[in-house]
Amino acid sequence: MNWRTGLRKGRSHIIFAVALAVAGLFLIRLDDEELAARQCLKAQPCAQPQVPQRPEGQP
Amino acid sequence: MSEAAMTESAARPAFYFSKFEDRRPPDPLPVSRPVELVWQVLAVLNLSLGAWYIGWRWTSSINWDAAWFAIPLVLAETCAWFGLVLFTLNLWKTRDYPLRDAPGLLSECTAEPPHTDRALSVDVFIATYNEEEELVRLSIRDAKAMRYPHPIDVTIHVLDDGRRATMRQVADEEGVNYITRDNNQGFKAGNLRNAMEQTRGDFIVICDADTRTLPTLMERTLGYFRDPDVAFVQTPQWFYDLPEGERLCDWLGRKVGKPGRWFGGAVEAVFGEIRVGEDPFVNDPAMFYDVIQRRRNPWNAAFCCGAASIHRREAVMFVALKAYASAILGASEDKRFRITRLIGKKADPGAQALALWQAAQTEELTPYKFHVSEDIYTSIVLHQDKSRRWKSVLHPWVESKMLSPQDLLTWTIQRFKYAGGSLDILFHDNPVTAPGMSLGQRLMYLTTFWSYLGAVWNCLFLIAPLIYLVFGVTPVSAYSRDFFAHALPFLIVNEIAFMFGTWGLSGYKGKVSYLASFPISLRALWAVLNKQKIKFPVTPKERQTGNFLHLVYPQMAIMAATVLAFGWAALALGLGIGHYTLGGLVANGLWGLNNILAMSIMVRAALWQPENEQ
Repeated sequence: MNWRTGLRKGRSHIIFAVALAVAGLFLIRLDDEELAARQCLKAQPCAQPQVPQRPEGQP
Repeated sequence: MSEAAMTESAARPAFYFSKFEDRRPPDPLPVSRPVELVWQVLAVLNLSLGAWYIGWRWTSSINWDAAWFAIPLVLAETCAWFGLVLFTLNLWKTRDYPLRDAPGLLSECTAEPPHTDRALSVDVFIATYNEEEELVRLSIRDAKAMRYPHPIDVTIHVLDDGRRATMRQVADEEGVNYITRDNNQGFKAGNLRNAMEQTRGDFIVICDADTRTLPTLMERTLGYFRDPDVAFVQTPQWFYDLPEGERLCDWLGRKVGKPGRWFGGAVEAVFGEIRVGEDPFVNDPAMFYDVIQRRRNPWNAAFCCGAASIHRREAVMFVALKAYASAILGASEDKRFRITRLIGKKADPGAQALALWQAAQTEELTPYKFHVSEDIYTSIVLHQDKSRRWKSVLHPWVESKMLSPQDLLTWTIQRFKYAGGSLDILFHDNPVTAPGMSLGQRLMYLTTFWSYLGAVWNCLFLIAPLIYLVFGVTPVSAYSRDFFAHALPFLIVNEIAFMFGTWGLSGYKGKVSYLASFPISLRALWAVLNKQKIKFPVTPKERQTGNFLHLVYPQMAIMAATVLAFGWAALALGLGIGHYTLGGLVANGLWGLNNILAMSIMVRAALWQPENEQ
């Protein structure tokens, strides 16, 4: 049996593995975004507008 | 065609399978050492990743706030991983027994020379009960057409448990022996015993009513018996009537015209040939015989599956007599004790002899155990015999053809018998812990039993996404990067490993049918645990008509519940109800989708109709 036939017969495994990888990466990305959003909420400054602070004593 | 042949052909009924008569069986899967090596490397990696994942699940991931859900699920995952270890051991390597020349004389098949050497004698048993006589006629004719390169004494016997005059007439017309009895004690096993009492062949070919032997069966299998320790040879069962289905592009073309044909063609160009309606009941036994059973040869653990097997009479009788003797001894001890109590003194030799005689009257000699899985039972008894270390052989070439279940009811009856019979052996006569077998043989039988117990954890895998989608309860502490980092490598490598482990066969249908047939195994388990006797109904050989949707209510319920639960969870996430997360919703949604796809295969099977009935 040549490799092409073997791969064709076992394609369901390849499709399933690819689907798992794609879905997994997508879910990890989602988790990362959620984590970043949560960290942003904890560290308030990033939720505020970035206004340059004037050094003390300057007019 | 001569006039007589035309008349005969016209008189013979046309069966639904007549159009498949010209089909030829596939060759066994070729053995490739490089592929086997890739499989073994990936298998080790897979089991290691699995162990790493399971270890992490137990130590770092359990959501203790929902222990009622988290603990059973992690237990289920652990059981499934253990099943994976067993299955990997089963599939580890292919080592066929070498084919040997067909023996000419009996002395070539025995350890000690017989008193008088002679040609081999073979009894072909065709067991029948209520199958159509003309179907049995086909099996008789094919058995008569078996060839052998040496003089051989072959006798074909029709074992009719239906006591039919019409069946006797067919046997007479075909010039074969007809054997019947006045009861149906022990069903098929009793039928075989009755025939064994009346026959003397050195070897026995066991056929069901629909087993159509190929001409090569004897010449290619009797050579294995040159090894005097070989007790039986099992050949693969091949269903020559499986629907071939229709190419996706043709099917779509028929349904929606040219665009459908183009779309189907494009899909097939990417994924390879796809056939709609092919083998709707996932009956194709290639995975079982060509992979699972064949790879038990190195462990000397291939078991007998009844039809299309060849048995050495001496081996079957040897272990049957031993079992009979030990049963008498066991029973007589009990009787001796009772006699002692009755006569109030120590048992004397007379009482001992009486006890033995009484025990011999009540015990029965059963070459094939009276059990729904008499074939596995016989294999177990042979494998357990330490004094002879009998061998079993799975011959990889198909040597007969037979009919597959053509409707879901028949399929369900057959699977229930398999599951019930195996689980009954596990719970009442467990060979895994009983003395006699080698470690490898024990592990292989455990693999079989474990696969039937798998329905219990499969149930949890079907319910788990539902619990999350309905209640928002997670079994893991979080669907986080950490979780996927542990689960994904294992799951992905598992798929790739088994692609190489079953190289040349498609595993998808078998995998989903295993998941979807959970109600059958659960029912069988329930019956065995409640000490109900698993019945021996004969699997119908004709298609049963009717509506079979009631057989798939559990699968339909899982599908409907998953869809509804997903809808609810999406709504709840949108409205901010409960503890749902987008990651949890997507992960469990995909898991549920996988379950729905698996269940749908059984629902489609319930609705399937052959072309001529559509």
